This record gives sequence, structure tokens and C-alpha cells, in this order.
Amino acid sequence: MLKSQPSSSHQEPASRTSDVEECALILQIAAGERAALNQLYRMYRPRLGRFLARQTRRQDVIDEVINDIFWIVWRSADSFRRESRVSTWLMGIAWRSMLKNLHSRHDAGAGEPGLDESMQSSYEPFLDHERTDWVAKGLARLPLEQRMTLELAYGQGHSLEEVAAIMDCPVSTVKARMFHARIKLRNVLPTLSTTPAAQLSEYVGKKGLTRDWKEYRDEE
Amino acid sequence: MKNERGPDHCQIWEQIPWVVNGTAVDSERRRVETHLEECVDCRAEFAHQQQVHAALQADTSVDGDAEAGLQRFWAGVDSVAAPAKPARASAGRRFDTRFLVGALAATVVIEAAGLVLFGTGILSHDESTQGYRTLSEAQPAAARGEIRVVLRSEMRIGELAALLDALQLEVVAGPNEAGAYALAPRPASRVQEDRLARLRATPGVQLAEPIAGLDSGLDVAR
Repeated sequence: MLKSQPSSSHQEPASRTSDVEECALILQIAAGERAALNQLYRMYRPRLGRFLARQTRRQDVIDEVINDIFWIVWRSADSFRRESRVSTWLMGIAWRSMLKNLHSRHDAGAGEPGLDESMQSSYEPFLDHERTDWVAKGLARLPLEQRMTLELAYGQGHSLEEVAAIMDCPVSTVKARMFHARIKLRNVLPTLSTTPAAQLSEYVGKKGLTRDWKEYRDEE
Repeated sequence: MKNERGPDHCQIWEQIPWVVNGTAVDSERRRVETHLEECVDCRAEFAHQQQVHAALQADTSVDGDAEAGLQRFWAGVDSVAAPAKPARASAGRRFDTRFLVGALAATVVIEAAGLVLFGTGILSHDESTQGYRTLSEAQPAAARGEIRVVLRSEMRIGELAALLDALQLEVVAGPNEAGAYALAPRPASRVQEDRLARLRATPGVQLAEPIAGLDSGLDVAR
């Protein structure tokens, strides 16, 4: 029997502090305390770097976006409302900064290699971690929104509602992105599959499914 | 063992990732667990998602130098012509002062802990070499509060930050049991304005008075 307990590794990645402590830091940042921003930066840099690495492997781009993120934090800390956790607020800034950077680089015709290409080559050395390698390759083939939904949920440990807040979209959109990400990942991860992809496709299209599932197909 | 499919099955299938990552509420988690006992497909999917989850958790290889990144960040901030301060208060931005009380209290605790660590030599990191003033750096001007304030509940954090910035004041202690904070001029402050009068004229400030002598009622955390 499978146990549905969350993985023991589930936790706030790269963050051992409580939300209250993080809120105190935001308050200090709002008051212009550089030391507080330094502390928040050190706490979140690994997490943000990992998040951004799902979009690009270029370290200079990752560094640039991280600085963009903390520039926004520095300038707008007083706009933080305690309607969400600090981590959710900050990851929302990260998501928007990532999109902005992506668009600006696209507009500028930046010559970065395609994500699939760069990520696949980047992950090839992980021969001893076949599963991680396969998943990384599978993720690289997903559209950005689906890939980052998986990263936010599995890599960063956010809830459905938090992912919706971070990506500034309805919960139903997150569900749809997760749905498609799972289906596509299963199709490109033969070594992980325990049921044939065709079987999944069969019951996705099976008569009697809920309206939501049809909407997912429409969105696709 | 049943292998039924239908609306409930689809809802469970949809819920699986959030049970796998541990964020589903207990009722949903129990619902999924119950369904897994009788649905072979969802068990397979659950196992698959556990592997995907484990793979994403394991993949943490991120390079980069945080300290170098910070140096670049502050160099960028300082090079900007606009005042290198956080955004000022704006209409509609509201920060609950109930949170302010708790957060400032936490700040004082953190500051106290930092001072203890510095005092015992446990922490050797000194950001003063970068020209930054840290919470735990010695601040003679802020050794004791000069003004005691009590804030109204409607006071916004942005307003407070802007006010303290304009008057070159900082919170050095508080809140005490009465909810009062001790303020002191920032080092090298050049403000000529009557700070007390300005504070008293601010709608969000319920009380502002000078702290006389050593009996401030607000022990600075040092």
C-alpha cells in the first residue's frame, strides 16, 4: 500500500526561518535597513537561483534576475500585505521578473540557446541520477508555465493556492497546467511510467469525465 | 479491489500532486488515501508523482556567489540617481499595525540575539566594511531612545517608514507593554525640523513625547 505522507524532504527549501521572522525582515527593509535585505538575500538566493535555473542555465542571467527581484523588494517592501506568506510574495516577484527578463531578451534577440538544448547538455553528467536526469529532460520539454508550476509545487513546496497567487492566475489555471504537465511528463519519461501513456490518454478522453477535465483539453 | 472511474476519480487524480508535496489539507489527504486503497490507476499515478517530486527535490545544483551578488546589488542601488530608499507610502498601501507590533518585537529580539552573538565573538561577519550600518553595529546616537511614540492602529507601515525617513529617526526599542516605541536620531542626522512637533502633527501618531533621563520605560536591547 502506498503511503500518502509527504516526502520527508518536503520543507521550505533554503528557508529555515518562520514567516514571522521573514515578515520582521520585510518591515526592516521597508524602513531602509540594508542588513535586513542582506539577510533575506542570503536566505532566498539558493531558492531563487534554483527556480530561475528551470528557465535558463546562464548564471549571468540568473544573477541579473535575482538582483532585479531584490531591487523590487527594496523599493516596494512597504507594499507587502500579510495576506500571503513572505515566500509566496517573493516568489511572485520572481515569477514576474523572470517573465520580464525573458520577454526583454526575446525582444532584444538575445542569442541564448534553446532551453531544451542547454538544459539537456547541462544534465548529461548526472549519470548516477537517472531519475533526476530524466525528469530534468522532461521538464525542459514542457511549456514555461507548466514547467514552473511543477517547480513551484514540487521543487519549492507551494500549495495550489500559493502557486495561483505567485503566477497571478486562477486556481483552475494552475490545475490545468499541472494536468498537462503530468500527462506530458509521463509521455517523455518511459523509465518512470508504471502505466502506459496510452492508458492515461484513454481515461482522459473517457466518457463521463468531469467538465473540468474537458476544460483542460480546451485550454491545451 | 475496485477500479472505478468517474468524477470522484478525476478529482482525486487532480489532487494527487498536492498530497505528494504535503500541502493538501487533511480532509483532502484522507480522501485521496481512501481512494488509493481501491484504485490501482491512482496508486500508480501517486507512485509516479512521488518519483517526480523526489527528482525535483534532489535537483538542487545551483551555482553563484551570494556575497558577490550582494555587492553587485548594492553597487547598482547606489549608482541609481533616485534616492536609494524603499518606496514611500502611497495611497491604498496598508500595513496592519497589529503586525507592526509583532514584527517590531521580533526585530528587537533578533537584534538582541545578534548583539549577544557579537558580544561573545561568535559572529565575526562585519558588514561595516561595506559601508553599511547593521542592526547590531554599535550606534552611539541610538544607544537610548529620545522620543517615545504610540501609534494608532490605522498607521500604515509605509507612512511610518516615510515619516521616520523624513525625520531621520529610527526605532531603537519597543514596543513595551503599553505599545510604545523608543525613537532616536539616525547617526549623522542633519534634520533641523522639530521632530516632536512633526510626530505630534501626524494623524497616525497617538502620542509623542520626549524621553527624559534614563527612565524611558523602554529598554534598548543592548
